[in-house]
Amino acid sequence: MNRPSTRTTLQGVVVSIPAPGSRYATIRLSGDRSTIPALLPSGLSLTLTPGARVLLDMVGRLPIIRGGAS
Amino acid sequence: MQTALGGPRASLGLSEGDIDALIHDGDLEVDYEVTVCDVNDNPVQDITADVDDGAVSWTGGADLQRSVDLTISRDLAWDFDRVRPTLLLTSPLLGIRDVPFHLGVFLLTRPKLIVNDAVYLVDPTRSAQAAQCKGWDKLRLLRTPMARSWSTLWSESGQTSTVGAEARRLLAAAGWTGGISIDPRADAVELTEPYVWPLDGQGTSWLRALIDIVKAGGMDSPWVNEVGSLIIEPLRPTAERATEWVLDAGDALRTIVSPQRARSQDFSEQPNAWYFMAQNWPRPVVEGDGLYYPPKNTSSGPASIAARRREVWNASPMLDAATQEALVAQGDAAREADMRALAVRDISVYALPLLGHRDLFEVRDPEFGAPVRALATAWRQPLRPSPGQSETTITVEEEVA
Repeated sequence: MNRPSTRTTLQGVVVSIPAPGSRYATIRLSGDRSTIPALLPSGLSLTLTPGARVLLDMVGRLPIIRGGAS
Repeated sequence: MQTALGGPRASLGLSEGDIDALIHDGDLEVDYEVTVCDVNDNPVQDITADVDDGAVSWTGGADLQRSVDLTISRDLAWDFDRVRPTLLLTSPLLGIRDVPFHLGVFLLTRPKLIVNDAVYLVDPTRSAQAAQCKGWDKLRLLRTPMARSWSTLWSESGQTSTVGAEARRLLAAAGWTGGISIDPRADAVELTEPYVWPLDGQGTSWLRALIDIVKAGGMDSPWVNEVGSLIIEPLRPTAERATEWVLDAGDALRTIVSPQRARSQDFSEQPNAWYFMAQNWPRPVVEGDGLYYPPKNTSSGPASIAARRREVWNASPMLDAATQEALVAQGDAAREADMRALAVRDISVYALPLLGHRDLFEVRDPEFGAPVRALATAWRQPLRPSPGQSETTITVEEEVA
């Protein structure tokens, strides 16, 4: 009944960035029409803008933005 | 204390004594009807005349718990039509006739056409063709890939949500039709962090996401009841429940237990110590905050630390839990299941066509020692019982005292 923790790397595009200091950005994953929240490491919100491509790590049930994609 | 009136028996309109008499007094007659239902599970057409035989099975712990096998001699919209088999209970002694006991609502799949000319030669009114079908309960409708990502609402977007609200939102998006019953306690568990199922090529289904959400709130896996309604409710330890049935193999006059029964006991993979960690926990986990150590099994039974002279820890500690309370509830349930799975009994009974979801038994069998409480993990109920033959087969897991 228990499952191991999942860790997968995904690619996405930033749709919107909340106010500085907020923890979550809204991301559209590659090939997907829906959007999801992703956890924003502190400090990163200052450098990301909507339209930026990002890499995300799935940690448990939450994607965490790891940095910009090329 | 025993109460047989729980679950699907509540709608029978019979008393506790009636049910006891029905099972034990030997004049129970069982017939069946099979009805096609619309997408809201309302009956629209009786197809009993075209159903030759069948059986309904229930398996606790499976994602799809109810299934049906039917032999049917008419064409249906396979994998769309909902089919509801119902037992009709008659007892001349009790003065009841054709009291309906529903066994579930199913989507039929995998028709296998069988031609048997001998059937037609023996009885020209019967079709020589029959289809053997397997059917699954309506959670099958949710066991399809979402083909999109899905996330629960999250508080920093200005939207706070609860386990109950998220379950309803997901069911609406997945197109669920028919009844939904969500325990009010699910609406009290708030999800403060978002839960995300990305489109990642793994074909994550609506059902997988729904199970994750309700388990995050410390609820039991969703299941579908005998009339096709989806049920979400908290895990309820069996210790807090009254037994629903007494099976007494030692009572020669009134027993309904078949002479052949089995008990198996393999504890080699059984843990006697447990730890549980919440995945997706917003902070580093420490005991009491994302980490939970339930009491060890120090001395109870052959799998205990005392008997094996070592600690055997559980192999799957990660749980999806939104709160420490949910983590503890799931951890305790997993521990209880591990403790209970020590001994399994296979029992056939002559007349017990009244089983539901996770029925709790007291099994008295002198051949296997003292009476035990035992939780049903599976049962199979034929639609057309053979008179005098054992009918219902039940698998139960003994509870460790």
